[in-house]
Amino acid sequence: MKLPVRYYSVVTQATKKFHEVIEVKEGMTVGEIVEQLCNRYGSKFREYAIVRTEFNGKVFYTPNVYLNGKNVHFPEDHPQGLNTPVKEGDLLELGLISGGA
Amino acid sequence: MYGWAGQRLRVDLTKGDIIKEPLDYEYRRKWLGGRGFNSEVIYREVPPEVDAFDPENRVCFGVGPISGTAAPSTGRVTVSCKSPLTDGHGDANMGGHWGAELKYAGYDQIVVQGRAKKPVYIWVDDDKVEIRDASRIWGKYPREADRIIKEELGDEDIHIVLIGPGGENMVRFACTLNDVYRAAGRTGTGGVMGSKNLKGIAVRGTGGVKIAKPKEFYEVCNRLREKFKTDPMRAGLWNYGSLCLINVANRDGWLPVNNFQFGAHPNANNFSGETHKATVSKGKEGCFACPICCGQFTVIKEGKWAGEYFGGPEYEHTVPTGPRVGIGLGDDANDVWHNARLTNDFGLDGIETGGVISWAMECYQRGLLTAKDTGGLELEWGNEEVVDKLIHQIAYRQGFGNILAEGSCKAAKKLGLPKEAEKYTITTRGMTLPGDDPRGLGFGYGLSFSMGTRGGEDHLRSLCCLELSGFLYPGLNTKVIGCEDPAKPTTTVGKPYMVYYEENQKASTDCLNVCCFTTHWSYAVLTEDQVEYLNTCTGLDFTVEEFQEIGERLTNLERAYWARHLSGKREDTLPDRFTKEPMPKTVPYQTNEGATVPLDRMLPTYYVYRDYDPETGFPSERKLKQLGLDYVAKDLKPYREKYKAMGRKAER
Repeated sequence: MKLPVRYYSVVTQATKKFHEVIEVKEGMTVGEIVEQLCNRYGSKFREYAIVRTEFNGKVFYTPNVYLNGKNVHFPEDHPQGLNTPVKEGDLLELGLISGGA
Repeated sequence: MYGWAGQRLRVDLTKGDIIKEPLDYEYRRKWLGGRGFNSEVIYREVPPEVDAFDPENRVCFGVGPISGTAAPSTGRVTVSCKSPLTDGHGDANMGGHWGAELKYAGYDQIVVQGRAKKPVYIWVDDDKVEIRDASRIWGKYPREADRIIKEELGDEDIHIVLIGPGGENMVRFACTLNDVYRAAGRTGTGGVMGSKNLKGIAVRGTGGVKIAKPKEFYEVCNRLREKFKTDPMRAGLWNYGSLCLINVANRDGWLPVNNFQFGAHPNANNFSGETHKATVSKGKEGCFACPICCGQFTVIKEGKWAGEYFGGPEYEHTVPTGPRVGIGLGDDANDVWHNARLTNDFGLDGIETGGVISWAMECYQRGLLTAKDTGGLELEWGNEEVVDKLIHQIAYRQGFGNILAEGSCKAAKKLGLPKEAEKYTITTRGMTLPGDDPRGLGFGYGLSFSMGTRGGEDHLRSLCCLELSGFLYPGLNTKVIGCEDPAKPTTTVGKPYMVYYEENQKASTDCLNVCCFTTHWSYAVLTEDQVEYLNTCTGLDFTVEEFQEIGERLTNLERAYWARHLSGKREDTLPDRFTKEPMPKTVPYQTNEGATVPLDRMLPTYYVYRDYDPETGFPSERKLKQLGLDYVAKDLKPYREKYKAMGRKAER
């Protein structure tokens, strides 16, 4: 099935585009699609789309991804998080980092 | 002495006196520096009866104990005064290199008082200080005045704080800039300088900063700089500046369009960081010792503004004279860059400029203002000819712009508009809110907007980034708040404590005068790291608790200053737009359709954390004494009773 994907900020430096429509298998999860895109666009994409942070002596890798306008890491919006399967009509977005301006 | 320079430079422009005052250990330990030193002076030396444009107002420039060192981003400066815009506490913060130069010259703070008989600038050449004639540069843009002063003094490497025509004409929201483009934007510090006939302050510093434990200090600095290499917030800022937030704001519905009537627009990408980089970006620049280097440089290449250039813009510089007034939403974003260039060259707070124009436009939209009031100008959304004209008029106090130069709250009163017009000012305590709609950015931001101690708050008071980027640091919200729920922007869970915590943290950071982008925006630098570089630099033994208590003390002092101006609980509000008007949907997948900010659910709990008196909202006597502010507790006694009496009268 076809899935529209949008890219923002530094992720666009790896993809060289702001948006595209990709082909994915029905039932693929958000996490699997991010991994598919990492394999397609390489290490720079992986570095920008899966953010690395440190806290309390630990290192975390968090795919920065929105599904249908909502951050996949908030359980009330996406209870299955990165394991959420995509379906027809979904929109994936990568690279949105928020902060105060 | 390590860290600090240990002295304040006081310049009295009425008498022509130049005085150097030592800053003793107790004072430095209690107030730390930067915003702490400044607010302490303003509180003590500028009582409520002094008008902001009176010679007895002060304008203060403060730096911190680690300013000018290799710790990340130590070049910032706090500029403080009694604000001519709000008539309350005012301060602003700027980057650049001037702050480090001041420290190298041997000063932690400059306090300017009085009024010169004619335009002057102050020249600080290490321990030699002069008041020099500025008649040749009065009227010049900061970029021109900067060049002329450097030629006059024969040194390209000095750093200069300046005002533009806006400040000279005492626009109530005129700003101060250093290194031409780095603005201390808010609260009208440039107008106060203009009221003193003070064009600028040039500094050359050939000294340095003594470090108590250099080996340990540089180890901390290097460790933190290493973290920035992979920090995600830094990556966005490095590449696009704070314009990296345009598309985020649009996605999450916090981009102000037409005075916050909408939170998103299909064409927002026109002026995004990504588009800026591809079309008008001409390199970048960084502030002193900064690993983030978010500064951008813009050259307009096409169209009617081709050839214009300036340093910037920031997100908050772009949005107010861009989408907030309906500009940039068609095919051409160059109008957005042009308007940002104008506010730079005129030395105006871009946020307030866009705020007052968008207020007037909404009044026009709703029939509260007509072309008869505006000198014939048709204030239609997106009319660049009108926006350009108004920015000029505001800077030079001409025509309708002369009224707008008062700020929207004072302008509404001056025009005698119906009470409805006040609703569209989108201000708190008389200062307009920046380009961040709390219905999308987060409820913590909404609470901090209402409580900020200089009005109209943004990241320079409570940087509630725990609700924005906290999810990227699993466990951080739990450490601070006790659970991970507050990591979501549109929940009230944990937000009162988050705002209390982040306000104190930010205040302490402002006393150090390091950039807030390094800490608690990015979380590469945490409070423990700040205390470590502070102690290894100064040789002292601050704890995390003492460091955060300094911020709490400062917040309470500033709150008390407002209390002396009879501003308290009744003024702890948000515009109705945010609390009563559900966010409309303007783009597909907009996440915050229908949202309003439930301020009333957060405020009482926040008051408990702050230990504010529930009737007046003033800091309690108990809290003030606990923070070593007994004199403030005594000051507030008559004002408590007066504020209560005013409340009772209003109820009748």
